[in-house]
Amino acid sequence: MKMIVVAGTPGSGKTSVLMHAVKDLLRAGLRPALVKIDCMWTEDDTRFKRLNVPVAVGLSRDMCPDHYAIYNVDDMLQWAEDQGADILLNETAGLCLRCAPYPDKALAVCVIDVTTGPNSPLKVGPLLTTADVAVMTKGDLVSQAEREVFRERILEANPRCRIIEANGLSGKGSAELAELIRSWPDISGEMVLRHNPPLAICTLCTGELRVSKERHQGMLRHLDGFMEYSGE
Amino acid sequence: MSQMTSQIMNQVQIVADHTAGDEDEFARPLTLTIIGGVDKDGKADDVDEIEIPRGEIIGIVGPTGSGKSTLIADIEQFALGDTPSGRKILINGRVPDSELRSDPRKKLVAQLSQNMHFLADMSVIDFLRMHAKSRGKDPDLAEKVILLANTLTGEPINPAHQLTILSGGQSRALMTADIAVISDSPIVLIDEIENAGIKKQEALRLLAGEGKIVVVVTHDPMLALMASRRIVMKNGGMTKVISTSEQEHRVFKDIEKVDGWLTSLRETIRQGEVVA
Repeated sequence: MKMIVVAGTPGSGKTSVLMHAVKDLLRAGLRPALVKIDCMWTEDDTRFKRLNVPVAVGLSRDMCPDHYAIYNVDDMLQWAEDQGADILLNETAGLCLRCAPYPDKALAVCVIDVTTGPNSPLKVGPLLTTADVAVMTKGDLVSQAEREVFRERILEANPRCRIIEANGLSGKGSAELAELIRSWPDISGEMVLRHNPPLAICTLCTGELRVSKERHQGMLRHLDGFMEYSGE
Repeated sequence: MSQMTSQIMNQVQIVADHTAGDEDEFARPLTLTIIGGVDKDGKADDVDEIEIPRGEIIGIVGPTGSGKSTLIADIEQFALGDTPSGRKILINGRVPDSELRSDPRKKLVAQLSQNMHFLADMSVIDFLRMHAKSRGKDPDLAEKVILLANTLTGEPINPAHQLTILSGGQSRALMTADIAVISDSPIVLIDEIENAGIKKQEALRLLAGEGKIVVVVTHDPMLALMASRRIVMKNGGMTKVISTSEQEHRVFKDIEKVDGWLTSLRETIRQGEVVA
């Protein structure tokens, strides 16, 4: 099983870019399954369902959306396996710029909107700096020079990342993203987060990096909405 | 090209000679090939292949919504059958590597697009310096860009001003000069320069430079006839290629005279003088 985590600020085009990449993956004979994580509400699942791939939605409600996504990684992987999938695509809520919900062995994709201006790559934080791939969207709305300056800013924030210029409307760039997903290695063993979470009152907030379910305490919300308290 | 413009370009060349690592890029033969795809209804393009050699100015014409900008976008991104048109773009008869598609330092294509709004909250000079850096060029070229831009537009651009306050004409002039000096790519794509409020013919000659391939989308008879051929678009498809005839070339000479007269009248009025 491969795992792909797609993060990025709301409205940056995560869903549109993923829709096109899913089509490319299907054409290549792969079996992607998709989990959309959101905070309060989403209708992205109805868009994804049109592609005839298994889709699940997780709403984090009162739990931190990144913690919710990380806490439910085991369950998402199990669900994807039950669907007969070979790739789990996890689209995150994309709200908090303090964390980055990327396990080390997953392909970490940060979607970033060019129209937010050349300073935004420096503001996005670990979401961009720890990503493997930065997908630049809405480049058709600005001049070539501005796209190139934006690209330079991304490389300042994360010199190692691969940059894909994509267009959620035309599908430009999706073939390149799909090819990267295809060549990404399967996950194995225990995964840890790429970036330390902030200090606060939940197990992630106190610095837990291990992904496995049994590592977590506090008020926890499961994919199916069941909430429990675990701890002393 | 006016005397002032060419003087600045000569200075630019001196700076560029010291900074460019790949001058040989310009020495090699270059052809751009467009392999036909489909129109908006999925019907195959009537033009199934067109090859454009170094030094040619080629036009793209057709009504609004006929697919001119889509064709430009196909060329800009070196489409591989992965865009809605299904067209393929070859360089020297081959599919270009993905590095040529994305890395600005290796980019063969410079584009002057319709989208001239600057969203970047930076000063003109900082933006140009950073653009030069992204292209692997000397950041000091930024000052030359501004000098050159100011020969193409009425109201001079102040290097310390924010990009977002530039007028439409100033933005276009700045972009044109940026392409001529910093991007300096062997293929130049121009989308509707006539709406710019700048000296359009001078801008086109400047961009065409020496031995570049220039693809220009236009409704303007003078610019269309400056091209040696023009691709006709309809319903998203390439329907035919027209070569500019001898007769059309004579018409071009006449339009050029009329345009020169109109430009001088416009300038007289702009300067608050009376038309004699």
